[in-house]
Amino acid sequence: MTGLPAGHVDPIELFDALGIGWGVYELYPNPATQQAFQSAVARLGVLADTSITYEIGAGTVGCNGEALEIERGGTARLSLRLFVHEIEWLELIGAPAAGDLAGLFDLLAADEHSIREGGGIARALGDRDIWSISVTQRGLLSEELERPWEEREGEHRADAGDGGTGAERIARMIAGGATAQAVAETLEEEAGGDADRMAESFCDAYRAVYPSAEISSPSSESVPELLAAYRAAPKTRPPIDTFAEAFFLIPVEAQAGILADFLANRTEGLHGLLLDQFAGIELAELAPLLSEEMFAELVGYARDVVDSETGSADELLPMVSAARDVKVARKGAADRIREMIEGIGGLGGAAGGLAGTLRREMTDTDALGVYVLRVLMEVEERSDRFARLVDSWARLMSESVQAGDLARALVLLESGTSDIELSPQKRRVIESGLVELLRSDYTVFNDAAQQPENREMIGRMLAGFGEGAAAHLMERLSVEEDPAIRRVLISLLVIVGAHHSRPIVGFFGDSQWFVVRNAVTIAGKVGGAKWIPHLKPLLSHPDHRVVVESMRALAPIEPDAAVPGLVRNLAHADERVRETAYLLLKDSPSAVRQEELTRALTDRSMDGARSEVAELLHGLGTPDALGVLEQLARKPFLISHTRRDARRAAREVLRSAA
Amino acid sequence: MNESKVQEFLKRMQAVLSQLNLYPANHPNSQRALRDGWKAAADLAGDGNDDVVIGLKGYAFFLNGELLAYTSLMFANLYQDLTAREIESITLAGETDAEEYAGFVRYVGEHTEDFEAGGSIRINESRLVGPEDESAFADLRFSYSGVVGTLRNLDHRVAREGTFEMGPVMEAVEELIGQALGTGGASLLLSTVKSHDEYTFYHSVNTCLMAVATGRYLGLNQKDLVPIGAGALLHDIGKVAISPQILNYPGRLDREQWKEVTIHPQEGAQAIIAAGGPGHEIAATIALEHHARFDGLGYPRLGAEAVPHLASRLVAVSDVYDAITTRRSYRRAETPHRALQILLQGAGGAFDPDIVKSFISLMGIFPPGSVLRLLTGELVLISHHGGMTDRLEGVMVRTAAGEDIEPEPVTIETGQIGQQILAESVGIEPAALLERAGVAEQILASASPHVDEGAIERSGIDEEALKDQAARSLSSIVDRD
Repeated sequence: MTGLPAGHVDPIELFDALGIGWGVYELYPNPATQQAFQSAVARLGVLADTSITYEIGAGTVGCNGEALEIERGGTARLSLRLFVHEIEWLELIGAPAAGDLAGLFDLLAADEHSIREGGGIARALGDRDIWSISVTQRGLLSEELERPWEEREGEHRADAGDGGTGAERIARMIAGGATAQAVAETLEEEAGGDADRMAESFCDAYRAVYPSAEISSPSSESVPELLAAYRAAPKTRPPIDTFAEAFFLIPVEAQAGILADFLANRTEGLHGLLLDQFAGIELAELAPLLSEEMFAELVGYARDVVDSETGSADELLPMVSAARDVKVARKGAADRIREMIEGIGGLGGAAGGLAGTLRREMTDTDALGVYVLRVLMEVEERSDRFARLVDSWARLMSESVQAGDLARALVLLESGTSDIELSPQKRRVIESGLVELLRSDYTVFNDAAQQPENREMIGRMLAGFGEGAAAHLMERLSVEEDPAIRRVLISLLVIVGAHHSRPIVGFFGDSQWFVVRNAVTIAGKVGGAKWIPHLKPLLSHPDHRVVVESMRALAPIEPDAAVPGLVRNLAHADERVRETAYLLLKDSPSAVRQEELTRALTDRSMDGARSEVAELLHGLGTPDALGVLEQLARKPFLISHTRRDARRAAREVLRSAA
Repeated sequence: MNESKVQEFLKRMQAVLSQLNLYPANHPNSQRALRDGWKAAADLAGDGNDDVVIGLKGYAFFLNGELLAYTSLMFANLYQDLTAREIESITLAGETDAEEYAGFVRYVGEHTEDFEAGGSIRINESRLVGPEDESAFADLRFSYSGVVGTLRNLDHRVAREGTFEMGPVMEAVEELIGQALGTGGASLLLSTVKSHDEYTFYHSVNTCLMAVATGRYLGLNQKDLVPIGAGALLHDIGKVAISPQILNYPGRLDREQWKEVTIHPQEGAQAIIAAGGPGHEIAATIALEHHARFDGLGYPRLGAEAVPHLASRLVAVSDVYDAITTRRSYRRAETPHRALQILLQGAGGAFDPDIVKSFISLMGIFPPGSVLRLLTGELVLISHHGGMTDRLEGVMVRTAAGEDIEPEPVTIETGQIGQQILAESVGIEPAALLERAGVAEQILASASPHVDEGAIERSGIDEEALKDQAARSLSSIVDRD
């Protein structure tokens, strides 16, 4: 592949110089005047008396069968551009001048289709009188194929001559641009139909055209001449294409022999190049003809190609793609497809029911939307995208509420909050997204909640929004002036508060009495023991309106816990508080009333409320309560004022009752 | 006169307009684009002795009065730019002057207000335009280019804002499906149109056409097909989030690059969800699942035992078929026949076997648009759906001696086939050629040969309603004729 003696030049360094040149070319209108470009050209000067050939692959560059490591940006871009132009080989012959290099770059920068339509880069270089750079493009074989093969066959058979071994003749034919058909026929003729000999000639010819240090070839000395002849011939196809196509034109037994040889040597020289021309399914067809050992090699090759450490031949081979379209629809393909169609008929049953199934599966679009959202929430790991997804999700919910489709809104909400495994971080994003939605679209939810029949659903939804939403609603409540809206908000918070008490309790300490009262109202309506420790202190709140509401809230939740405070508030300075306490105590089912009232009857702090205490105690109607009153009423002589006042109250209540 | 030279002229003009929008006229990139554009103009002008007249009318380009069907489709955007400047014809007279060319393109791009008439490039001088392109196939083509235009606009919007409006997409899809259903198998011919430069747009429209055709073949009605069509059209919209360098990277992707590529289904689904609107749920499902395999592998992972939605499985087959038959920077195009083989190999693994079976039954072993070389050397372009039979209808386009000939109807046996080859490798645009040869109109006249009556019966849908619909489609064609 190169005329360089090993060690004289560094292929990487030279390609690097090309890459620098390309980078300069991309940046400046007159690259040849740039110092960096001139330096790159100077570095190529080491090629003055020799040449070097690079093999261009998909994102790779090789030299002498070894891949070069491409690091520099310009180098990578250049190799990509070479590949886009389907350049297979790039040869620098002697030291290219700056103009030659710029000329090549002009062509590479041009549209690849236009270049191909104009006959290819090789022709364009010739037209520009550039001879220090030679290229071979892959795709130009099609034009050659358009010529009748009989015409070309005559030329190439003449080229092959009579001298040398069969393999050498084949190699000469191929390097001279012979058709695959001619090569296949020559192989068959020379081997007299013997598959083994055919395979041997094919392999030797291949090694003659693609030699390497590791492969000893009887014809290796003639290779430079063969390649020089090949390159000199205008518009001839790369030998690999001819080898690949000829492969399919010889009997399968010979194909199997060749395949075995190439598999055995696949890691050496350029043997892999031929294997890469075949699709896995094509190789699979030959697999039954391989020995056990070679079959294992085939599987190993497939594993390397598809980059998988596991898998059977059946799984791996279909994943192996051909490097080019070397084998196309041939005789009997239609039959094979037909058989396969029949084969898969048994896999999934009749296709006829598909329309019905499809129609059914498309009916519930809401469920599909929810499904997509759930999957996206689970798989999306990019935080910015996840936040955007949550925004979209929240907006869909808001639109559903606005459209009056609360059930859909609720289903949407549950898609992101129920039975879904999400990281704590994702959950936080969801909750803040929902609060943000409530902030921005508050009126949507509020309007929907004005309808009493919607309130339960909206409340459940807002509860699903989390604690942040409860806090936000409380904030709204604290500033809302319209009593009607306040009522709606409270009814929503009653539902939300059942799930999230903490934000509501947070407002028990607010400095504004009405805020505290509203929070207490909600707590009372929600009910539950969780409120008790927070409500009890409020029975002594400085504002009487809070006290009234707190007593109303606490009494039904936990009668026993409420009674001491209620009894105490019988002596409250505010009349409404006293009245409320009295009524609540009167109706209370608590069993501790008798004990508390009995204690309060003679408690000094209950001055002014003694009569109410006595009435309530009498109202209990129990023998013990009546006994306490009667015993006190019978006392003839009492020293303390408090006890005298208690006797008075007891006598009054007993007299009234009588 | 060579249509490809007109395409080159227009393509270069488009490139110059893009460059002039990015760089000043004296920038090397602009200069280079102008030079290439001028060369293409000179090449076109020098093709024969007469003046070259490119006419614009009814969303179509004409060359010396002859309709350029596929050029019109490929350069719908440029058409709009030109007509926005009220240009109805461009005449290239004699040797094209580079300065005049630059002046002309700058005028088109609204970089100058005036363009001096009377030189080697003249505008609105000739009325040599051509007849209105009134065929039913032209309507389909028009819809096709309209949908490509919609995708272009949408692509920018998604890149910028992460979402788009679903309404225009649905309208475009409805229009396309209406045309496709009214033109039977001809819509599949149109799906052979390829673009290397705007791969994703054309691939998406082709996938849409084939998915709709498959759905129709199974017995779905137009109403059912619209969301599937929209999903097929938008299935790759998430690719807007992937850098072009990675999308077009010619080699094997490394782990990071691959990770970026695998994001596109969820990216697309998110954009569709954000767009909302009627039908967005199915479209989002398809976008999300089009790389999720039937056997539970693929990406994204849908969870244990989850199978992609049937609509996604249907679109996945069309998606892969079109992708395989299109050239990419990292691999060659495969022939339609090879693509079918690959689908078959994946049936039951990557693909739903029932869908694969239906798809191949619809397309036939050698789908319309296949280019076959006979054992005797001639090139034949398959025009009609041949199903599973051994007889194929097509047109011979090249002799064994390699001479291009006027397309000549021919019936061949599969045993005569020597090789199937890539249409682009022999410079054939199947749909354009078949339309020029009048074959597309024949296919239109034969309505919808692909509808599998058995499938309709088995699907349990209202067959009478379907027949009525088919009759209405037919009647619309007859009315036009």
